[in-house]
Amino acid sequence: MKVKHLESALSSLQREFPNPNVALEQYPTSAHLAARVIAFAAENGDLGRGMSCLDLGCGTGMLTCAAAFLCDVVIAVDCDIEALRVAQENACSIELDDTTNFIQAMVRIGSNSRVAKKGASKRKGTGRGRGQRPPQRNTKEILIEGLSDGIPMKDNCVDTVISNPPFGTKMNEGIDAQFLRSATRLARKAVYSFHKTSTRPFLSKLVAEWGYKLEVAAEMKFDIPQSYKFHKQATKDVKVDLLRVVI
Amino acid sequence: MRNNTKEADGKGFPLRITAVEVRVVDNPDATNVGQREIDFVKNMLPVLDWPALVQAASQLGIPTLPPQLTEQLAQDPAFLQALYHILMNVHLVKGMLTCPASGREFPVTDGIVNMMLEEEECERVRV
Repeated sequence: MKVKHLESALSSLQREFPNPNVALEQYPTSAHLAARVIAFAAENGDLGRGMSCLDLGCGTGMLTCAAAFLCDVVIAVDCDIEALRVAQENACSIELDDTTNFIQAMVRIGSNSRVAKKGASKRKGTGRGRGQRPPQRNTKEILIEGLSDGIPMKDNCVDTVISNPPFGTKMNEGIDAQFLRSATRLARKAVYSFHKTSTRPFLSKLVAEWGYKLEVAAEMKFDIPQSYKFHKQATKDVKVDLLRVVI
Repeated sequence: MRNNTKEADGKGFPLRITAVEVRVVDNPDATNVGQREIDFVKNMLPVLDWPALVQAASQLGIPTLPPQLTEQLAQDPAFLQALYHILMNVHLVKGMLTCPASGREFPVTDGIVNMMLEEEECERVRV
């Protein structure tokens, strides 16, 4: 399927989140970008007929729907039920709801679990001395051991994982690396994931420690629009890498 | 919520399905299931946990799968076509998935399954 056709089909979908949640860094992936990433993955033989795909942190389902045009099975995972519903409607509107499956689950449970609930107020402090939770394991340890994410699926259960994860800018530091860890354990063939360019050295080391090969497939700027009232500028340009991890 | 359950919950696989509402996509036109679909099913066979699939299909109102997947069946196009229909066209719209080991329930509403876990449960999720 031609990229332009794919992009055109995706552009009719609802991209916007109904009530964007600040803490979850919810913003939509553009039709243009979704089409390009999926087409690129297909060129590499990582997506296509007879294959399965998982969209980790699917949001309103742009990547999910793009993948559903090409794959036989797409599993879309997100912690926000409202976003999932929009994603499901999007899949229905292009009649791809038979190949898409929606699961509400959370990549990182624990210190971040409260922020997924609507209306959660900003936490004060990060748990030092609060004494109510068991001591948090060092994030890096968790990431290297690869234990304990909240996705109830087996390792290597899908061919390819695609993800546009939160970047860890909203009191959820390390969430981007956690997403990448979950993605790499769930995939059999490859992972395509967006990450801030500034994290590239750190993630390269991590991926190497996990035993996989990492490529920077593309560099781009994300134009994150003013979704939230407190944004001072109209849009913010963030330098972003599209990483491809070969499992 | 597709029939082909890949989810695992620690030692609790497969999840038991309590179906309240199932949607079956009508596929009266057998020519819809062509070679591509048959090839897809063939590729899936090594990955499928057959007893789990038989149980899941039965819990979704389709008790007709044979208890064993024989080599003969695996080569039979008619069987593969029927299997494709079961794998891809049967959707759980409303119901419950229950872990046989812990009893933990995951509700399914409007085709979306809620698998949000608490912190203590995470360690057991790993397979």
